[in-house]
Amino acid sequence: MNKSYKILLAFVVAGLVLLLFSTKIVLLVTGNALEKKQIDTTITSPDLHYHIDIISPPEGLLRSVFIRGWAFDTKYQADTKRQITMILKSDTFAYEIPTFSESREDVRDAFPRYALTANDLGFGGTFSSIAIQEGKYELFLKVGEVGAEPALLKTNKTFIKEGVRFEEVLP
Amino acid sequence: MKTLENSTTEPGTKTPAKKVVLFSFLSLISSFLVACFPLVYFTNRNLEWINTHDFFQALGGVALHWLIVIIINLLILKDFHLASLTTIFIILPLSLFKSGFAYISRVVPAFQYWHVLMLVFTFYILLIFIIKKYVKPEVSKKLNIIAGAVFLMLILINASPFISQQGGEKRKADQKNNALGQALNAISPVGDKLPNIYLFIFDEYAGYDGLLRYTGFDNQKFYDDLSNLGFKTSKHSLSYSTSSNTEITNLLNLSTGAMKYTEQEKNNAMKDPFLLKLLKEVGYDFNLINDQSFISTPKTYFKHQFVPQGYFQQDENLLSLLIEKSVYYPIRTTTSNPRMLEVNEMFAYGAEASTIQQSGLFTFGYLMFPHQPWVVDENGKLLDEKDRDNFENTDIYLGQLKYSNKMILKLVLEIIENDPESCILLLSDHGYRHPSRLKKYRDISMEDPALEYLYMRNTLNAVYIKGEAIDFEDYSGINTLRLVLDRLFSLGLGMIEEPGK
Repeated sequence: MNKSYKILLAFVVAGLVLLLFSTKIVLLVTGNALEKKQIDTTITSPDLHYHIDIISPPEGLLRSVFIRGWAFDTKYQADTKRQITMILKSDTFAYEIPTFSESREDVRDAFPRYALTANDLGFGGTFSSIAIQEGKYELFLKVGEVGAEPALLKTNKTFIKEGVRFEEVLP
Repeated sequence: MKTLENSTTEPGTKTPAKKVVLFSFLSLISSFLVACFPLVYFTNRNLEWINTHDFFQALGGVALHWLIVIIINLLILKDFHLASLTTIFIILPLSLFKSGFAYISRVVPAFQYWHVLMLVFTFYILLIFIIKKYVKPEVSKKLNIIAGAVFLMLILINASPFISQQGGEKRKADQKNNALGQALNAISPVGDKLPNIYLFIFDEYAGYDGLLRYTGFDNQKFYDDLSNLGFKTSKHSLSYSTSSNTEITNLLNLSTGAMKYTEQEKNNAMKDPFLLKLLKEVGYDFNLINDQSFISTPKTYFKHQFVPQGYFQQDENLLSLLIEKSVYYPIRTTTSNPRMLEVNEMFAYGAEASTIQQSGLFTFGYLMFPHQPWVVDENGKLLDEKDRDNFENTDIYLGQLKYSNKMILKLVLEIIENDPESCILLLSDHGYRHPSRLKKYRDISMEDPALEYLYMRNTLNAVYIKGEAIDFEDYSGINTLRLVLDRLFSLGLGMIEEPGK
């Protein structure tokens, strides 16, 4: 076998290997890879309020899903920095998805009895549905002030990943 | 390059240098013809929506793409014929990548964009290897010319409707325009305060009858809500055409001249439209909402304007369509969320227009909504990407139309609150073109094309004029506009012939 054939063969083999692992590489490079975790979701807090405003259908090359809403703990102190993360929990493992925070004056105004400050009451997060393993997932929110122990809430929203489909299971 | 070097001065060579240069040129032209085929094909399929400006912009894009590919191939293969042959083989997979990808993902759903991209890249490397190793320039030259001839034939077949349209009889100037020209001189001075005028065109908003026929939905509540806000509505209005280019050109010129115009002539008629000239004489400033950059009237005309998207994000644009079909489609954002943001921004800007100036502002909004892309249901929930162009399911269109009802009511409520002494016209350029889409894309014939054409021209038509009563019944958008202008400025424009029924 001459040299050019060897190079071609090596190229084809490398191409095949890359083809097999390309999804993982793309997810890693784009920062969309999700790590499987063990998260205990059995204890949820009754002091949390929430609402999910938007769940977008999977869109774009990475079949990205965007979820936006608000959540707060009634025990929040005024003007503290808060953090919310989304948890997609299957029977055996979970994915934790970071979110951005936003100010929600409408939520503050709707709950005057808790004397909330509007900062960080809202959240929004995007994840690639390609990064999710096939199965059924419940959506939890982890809500808390930065530096304090966060509390969990169950949103009663369930999703199913099947093939390329990622859809909310409607009750 | 090898071919040219060989061709220059070798003494005693049998092939004259000129002939070699000619064949090299023919090889290049052949590959360019192959590169142009998708452009001609999609132009032919979308002839009624494409104007000359669109076509030449897309041609420029195709030429640039071809040039880049051929230069890369020349650098690798160092021969014009071989580079052209490689370009012929690779340019179509690059240009029609998305169709191939859609087919592969139907068979292997787990395949993503990057998988197919790598397959194309592997194919390209193998192609280079095979052509470099096994194909002689002389053979390549013949193959190129054969391919060029085949594609030239295909291009001519596809281009024939376009050529016949462009080369048709010289259109007569619209006599109505002369009559209207006289109206410019007849403008009588008006009071100090010119009421703000808002003209919104909602592309493909079906009139009452058309909507009922094609979706079974009775839109009466929307008309009632508008009436309660002080609008006079007309449920049976017709446009003159089902083509946005034609009808909007007509509306902006208050005539039906564009019915006979070529696409180039329509484009010219939009440059300095009669309606704007007239209102400028009266003393109006102009404000434009230009979805898809559809309105080609020069920017200098407008004191304010809002363009919701960049060139590559436009939906009705030939270059965007070609990019959408090609390997480069990820550069275009076609997801529902950004499109809905654009739509929300346009409605918000329309409402804000009522706070720009107290009088003398003509706001013209062209919104490609509820026209496809269909991105939202009646409750404002974003639709899945697969329904974006789902023309077969009429519920998809209906959902977006119902949502547009809510948006339109919110818009006009805000304008009337801020600017009760204004004049608001809500029109559509044509109705819901469901049967023509079924015919065009599924070859499903209409039982009675004349009757369907009538329903497809049934449009939205509602007028608010300072909260006062205005009497009109089933006028076309153009006649409604003429009536309103006569009412406001006593111009004596009168009516033109209503669209044929």
